[in-house]
Amino acid sequence: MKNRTIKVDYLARVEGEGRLFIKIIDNKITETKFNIIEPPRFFESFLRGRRFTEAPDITARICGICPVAYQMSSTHAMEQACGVRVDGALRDLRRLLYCGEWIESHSLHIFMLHAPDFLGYEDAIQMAGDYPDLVKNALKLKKIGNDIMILLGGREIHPINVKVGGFYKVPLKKELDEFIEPLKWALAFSLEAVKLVSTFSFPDFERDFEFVSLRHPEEYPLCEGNIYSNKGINIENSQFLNHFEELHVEHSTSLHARIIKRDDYLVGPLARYANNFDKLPAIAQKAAKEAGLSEVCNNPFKSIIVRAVENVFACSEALRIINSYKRPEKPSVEVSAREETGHGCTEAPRGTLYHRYKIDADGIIKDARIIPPTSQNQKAIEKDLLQYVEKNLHLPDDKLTWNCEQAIRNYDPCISCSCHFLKLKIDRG
Amino acid sequence: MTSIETVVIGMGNEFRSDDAAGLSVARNIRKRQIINVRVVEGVSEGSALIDAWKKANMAIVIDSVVSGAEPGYIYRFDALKEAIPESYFIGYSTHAFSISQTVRLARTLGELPAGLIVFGIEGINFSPGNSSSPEVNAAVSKLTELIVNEINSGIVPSIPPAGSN
Repeated sequence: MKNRTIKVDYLARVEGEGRLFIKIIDNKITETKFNIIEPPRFFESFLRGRRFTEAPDITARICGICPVAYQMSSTHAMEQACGVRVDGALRDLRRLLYCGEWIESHSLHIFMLHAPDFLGYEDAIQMAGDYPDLVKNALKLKKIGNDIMILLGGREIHPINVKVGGFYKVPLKKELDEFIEPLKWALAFSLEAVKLVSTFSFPDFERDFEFVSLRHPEEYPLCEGNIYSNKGINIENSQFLNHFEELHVEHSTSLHARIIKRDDYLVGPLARYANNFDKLPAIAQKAAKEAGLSEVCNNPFKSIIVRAVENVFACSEALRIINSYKRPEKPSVEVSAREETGHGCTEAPRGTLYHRYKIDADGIIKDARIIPPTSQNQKAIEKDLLQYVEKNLHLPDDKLTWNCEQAIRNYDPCISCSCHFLKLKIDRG
Repeated sequence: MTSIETVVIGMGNEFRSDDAAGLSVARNIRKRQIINVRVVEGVSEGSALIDAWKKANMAIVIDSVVSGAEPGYIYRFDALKEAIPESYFIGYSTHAFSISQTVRLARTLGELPAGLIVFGIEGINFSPGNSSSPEVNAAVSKLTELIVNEINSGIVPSIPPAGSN
């Protein structure tokens, strides 16, 4: 009986903490577990009893990287419950705020967390020694995203300017116009970035994913659209829990999600891209094609290219919104509570984020349900690792371990959102 | 901003007791209204830290540390001349950078200010809330005076020595 053990006690360059255990006996994988071992954070519990208007500020605290996603899903859910729709310039400003979050989050992941995997560096600091201009430009791009969040959200981490019905304060036209030149630079650099990351060397690995994302009839999805999959799902967000379920597994304190009576699915950039290529602006489609991507990408290692393409979209969309901006007379619309259930589903940088709230006639939250993208991707991550290791058992331990870590980072997992800590251990006996 | 600006950057989470030490020192210094001194707080990740000191001649960063020393112990590092112990300063998250990592990155990119002093105050109570320990409160007052004196007398990065308490 031949056994091997490969162990990584702490996986760097992901948000949060987790552990992975792979057991291989006689060149057969007998166990693959993606363990999330952090204690539950109880957000859904302590939302109960709070006013519906508090949900955006409370849920923004779930994540320092993607707080806008939590604010957008919660505000949309509350507005749906209250029978209110936010449109026009306020809707555009929400998309602009989300573009800011995508730019800062994708830039951080592409350049600081994921690129070192492909270029053979332990971290971005080491990489900066050989690629100083790339890292400087990456930080500059990230800062533009952060600055958009500061202007619209009040601050970049846990923004405070979002409310059910809109914003507390909306920017002047001239304040937004100051972003035009920086965003033109950001767009040009993002196009360069697509070219650069497309030259990386990618493991030969593809899977037949079920891609799940929002799909909107007119736009690349951020805040609105049906929940759609390339294998037949096309539903309103209120039907989410009729098609998807969460299961407790013994080795994770974060629930695993799956499609009911089917299996794992994937949310995030690869899914959005595959389901919505036709909605990307021409400049992003062209960049993708020139980078060698077809309209569907089944290689998760190439998610870094898709993220770069989405940055092109985010910069382009931000410019479109700013150029057409007319300051609304009021920063928000009136929202009155009623006894109802509301659902909100928006596209966090790392995938679809579902919220559901039941509120009473006084606007008190009676029940809350939050399903973050990383918990939805847990089974897909495990399956990627299983299939990747199966096909690459011939690799030496150090190379296999490196590629497994890289495979996990393909998902830009925000483990803190689902829970925390990643230890990678491949036990070959 | 003038060409002689000093930026004082207070780090930490004000809702985690002793972790707020850096913020408290920075806020004390802000109240002194010293000419050409800019006080920054709310910096929570590496690139924002680099941005905060980018245009300053001298930067002073204050954060809480966990090194095993006595609570309230004050560390002083001249970041241009010595390494910042990686394990002392708590990272904001695995997604961002700690102070020591940020200094290393800025050094690599040539984005360190002309002078950079990092102060650390040893904490012991990082529980939720704002009940900082008495030793840390005393260190906050002491470090405030130390930094104000340094600013007023023209900061000499090598004096006083590290670990003064």
